[in-house]
Amino acid sequence: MTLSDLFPALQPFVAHLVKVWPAYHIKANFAIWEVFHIVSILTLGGASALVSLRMLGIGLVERPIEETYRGVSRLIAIGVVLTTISGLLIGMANAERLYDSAAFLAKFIALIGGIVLSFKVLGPVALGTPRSDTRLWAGLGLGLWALSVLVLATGGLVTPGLLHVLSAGSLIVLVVVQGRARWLYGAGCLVILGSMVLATHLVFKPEDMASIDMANLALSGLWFLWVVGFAVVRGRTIIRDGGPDRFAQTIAYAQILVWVTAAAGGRWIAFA
Amino acid sequence: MGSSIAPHHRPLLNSGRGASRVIRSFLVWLQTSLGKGPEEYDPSWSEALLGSLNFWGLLEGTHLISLMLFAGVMLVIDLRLMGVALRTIPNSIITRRLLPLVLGGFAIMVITGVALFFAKPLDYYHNIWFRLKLGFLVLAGLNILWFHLVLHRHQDQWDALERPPTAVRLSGLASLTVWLLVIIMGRFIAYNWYECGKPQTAFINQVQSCATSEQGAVLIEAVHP
Repeated sequence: MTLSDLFPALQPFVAHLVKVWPAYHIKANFAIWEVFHIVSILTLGGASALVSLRMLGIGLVERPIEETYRGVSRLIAIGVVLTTISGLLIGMANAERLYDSAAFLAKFIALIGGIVLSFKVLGPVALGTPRSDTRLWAGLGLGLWALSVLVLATGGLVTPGLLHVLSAGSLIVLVVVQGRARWLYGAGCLVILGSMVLATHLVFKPEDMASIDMANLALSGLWFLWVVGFAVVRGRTIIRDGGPDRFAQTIAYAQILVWVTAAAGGRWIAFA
Repeated sequence: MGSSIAPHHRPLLNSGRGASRVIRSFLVWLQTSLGKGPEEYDPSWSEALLGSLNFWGLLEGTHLISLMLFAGVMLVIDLRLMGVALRTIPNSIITRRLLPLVLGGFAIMVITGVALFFAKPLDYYHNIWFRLKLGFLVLAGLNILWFHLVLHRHQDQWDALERPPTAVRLSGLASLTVWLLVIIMGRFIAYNWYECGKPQTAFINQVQSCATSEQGAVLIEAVHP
């Protein structure tokens, strides 16, 4: 699914965008603006990851969650604003290509979901002062993120980009899970990854793409269940120890992964 | 590649220095011979990695996304040293708790970065941005050394200060600047503005060791006298 599938009538408008100020200036200095966009996402990703990891019992655990959030909330806001502005500008300069890109659509939807989660949900959840509409905004943010994942998953050549989201989630859980469970979890991940390599390189012939796709899909599903299973079990312990509730933990994971999805979508624009 | 160069772009400088030639020979072996099968068209491991359906893309994507963990968290640490973010939390807590995350991100970046280099060693070797990136990485390492050997010794005096002393703030600013330059150079590697074989100044040719490259070194003065 691409924007050109959804809005075919916009083709003339999209083709004209690159001729509009400031798109032609940006196109001439595309690399600089691209770096600006990447640094904005890094700022946003790093700052929001600190709050989210703290909510999952990692990072600045000696200090209350609220203090971590207050310490980086301005950075998150600056990151969101700069990511959006730089994204729109480099998007204008490259509009025709993005219009036909499933990876871009995934990135675009994830970006909106990320903004909703950053501005309307993370703050109230981290500060422990949820408002009456916080869950509604959370539903919208999570829904948009799920939609972006769906676009990436069904995007044909860009589908492998989904492995970034899965591996990032897998790494977060590896850090969050503690004790012997961490070894079991890590070993399980390695077995699933090893099976993927074996299935795609030894079991099936390279030309048998249908079987390779099926094997990848089945093993990715298994990996997903493995990661979610351990996250849920660890989540119970966090709640029992007086940490954030299930809703806050979900937001913490989603807040990191939505930006990973946006970054993965952005990178895979170049590959397919 | 060399045969596609227009006649007036033929290499004018072809005398590389010894060390550069030795390094290049090693990289040629790495790219074209290591792991190559017995048949003529069997790829080397490097070529197989570059030609893989999705693996190279996944490596590059992972390199970029791990940057979010490494540089994103490093940015917060640097801003704390500068007295800009998380000012109420002592630096020692920030360092103790966040450094493992930074190191984890850095480890993934190094592993994926080495694999990416392995896929196109010759391209990277003759790329000015790659060389600058390595240079800035060394500078970043020196700044870390300076911090730990000099500033860290008196940390108990400024640990909890919302606005640390000038030297500490400068170290944070230096770290922020150098890592930003590493990221910028890393992104510019993808652009072929100064690719060897293109007409350019003697300085650029020299910095990239173009004389030993397949495309050779072409002086801009020779093409546009």
